[in-house]
Amino acid sequence: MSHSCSHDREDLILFYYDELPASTRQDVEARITVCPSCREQLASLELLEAAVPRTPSIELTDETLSAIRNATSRRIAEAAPKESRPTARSGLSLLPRFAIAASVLLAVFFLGQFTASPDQVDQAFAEFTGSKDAQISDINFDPESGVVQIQYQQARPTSIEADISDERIQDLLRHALQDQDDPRSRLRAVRTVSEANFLNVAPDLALVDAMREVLLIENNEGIRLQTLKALNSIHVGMPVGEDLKTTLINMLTTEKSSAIRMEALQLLTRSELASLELQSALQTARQDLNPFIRQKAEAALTEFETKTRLEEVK
Amino acid sequence: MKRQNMNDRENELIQSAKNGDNRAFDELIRLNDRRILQVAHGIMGNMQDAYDAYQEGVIRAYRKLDTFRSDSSFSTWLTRIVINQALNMKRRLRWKQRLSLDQLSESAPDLLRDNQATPDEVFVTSELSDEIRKSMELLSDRERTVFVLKHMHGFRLREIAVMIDCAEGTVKNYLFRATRKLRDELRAYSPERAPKESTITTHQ
Repeated sequence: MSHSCSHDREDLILFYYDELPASTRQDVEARITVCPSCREQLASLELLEAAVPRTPSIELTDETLSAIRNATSRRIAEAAPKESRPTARSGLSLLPRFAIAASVLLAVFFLGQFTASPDQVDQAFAEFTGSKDAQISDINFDPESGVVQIQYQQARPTSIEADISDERIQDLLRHALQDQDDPRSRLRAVRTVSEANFLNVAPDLALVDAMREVLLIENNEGIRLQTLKALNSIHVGMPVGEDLKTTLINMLTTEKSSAIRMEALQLLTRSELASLELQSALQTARQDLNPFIRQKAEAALTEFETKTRLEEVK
Repeated sequence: MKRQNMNDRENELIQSAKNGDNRAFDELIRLNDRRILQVAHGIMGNMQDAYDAYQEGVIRAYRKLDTFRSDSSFSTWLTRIVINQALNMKRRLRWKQRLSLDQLSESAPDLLRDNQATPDEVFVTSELSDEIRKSMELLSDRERTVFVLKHMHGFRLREIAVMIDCAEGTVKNYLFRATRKLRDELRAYSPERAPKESTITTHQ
């Protein structure tokens, strides 16, 4: 026999996971005692627990953990000399660092322009991040090979080449996005991200975050628009993070350029869930001066409403 | 008092690690690695990928240690980095569906390279049936992540919100959806044990 009730099922899930405040918890407890349907719902959660234990899905033996720890320590030790963060080291350990720096300087002196081979990318990257004066002067992307070439000026021009999926390249792109002195650097970085499309690689979340910062502080409309296009290209099939969503909602309602509002709207409609804030922004966008934006906002609202109804039916 | 001592010790380790002491960083990782590997396993679904996500996350944490500002605990910060790594890797793997297990094995320690056993068989796994594994795969990455963090590890919703960088309300929504989907799947697999379909139709 099934029962109907108008109680909030989601409260029961929070009750089950002990996430309700004491006062609400008491209400739910009282409800369970009198409502058979709520008892059924709670029983179904207990059935879930029987199938999926409330313990981690894997146990790690000490032996396994030890092997993993050793392998990880080795990786950290390998990464250590490449680090740029200031470190307090003993006099002895300064010697190899000095030798590396000297060899880089000699190579730069003799070669004029030092192009780092794949093996030298780490070294050049560390040199760039370790220097306060290094400034990115050019960024080129080859869509066929997926290789990004980044040139920077320090004592002499230096060039670093690596695949767009390379974490260090993405870090350098982030540096370029945060270059307050040269808008061309920001634009080149954003275009590279746009062209790279990231169909085969996942972008670094720090890079996405740097692009969000560009949206917040960039005065140049063209760069803001290109940044939104780049974000749109990498968010295919990927939900938009909360911070970015808030920034976009703000842009949707305050940006003067309809092209920017359009891009912001498109990115927002990639969200999995329509929060109240987003729904409210979409309702405002339904009154936008631009008919295309009005139409898109209307369609997005309808789509979210359908999704919500489907969720409720489930 | 004990907790305070632990915090003091952790702060000392963080400071030493920031000053370039790799052993201090190792120790910080050791305090957290078992649980974080388990979380990564819950997200990735197998130990090989979990190991890769974990290790890349730890290296990233090492590189970004200077950015750690004690707004959250070191444990939460590290978990967040590994979760991001795991979610990124999941997306990458989906895009590169052809990626083979052999390629992934290259950087793994010997214990993971046993030709006779699948990666998970060298570990003691709790008894999740194939059906449950398949059901977990039906969840979106974020739904699964929230479910693993809440159901299997018992994190508070507000901690999970920090770990996956979203609002607490959004975490709740992911948890509701994950729970509903899994419950529906379970009904399909064990009809004789499942409670009868409820006809609750309205919400408060």
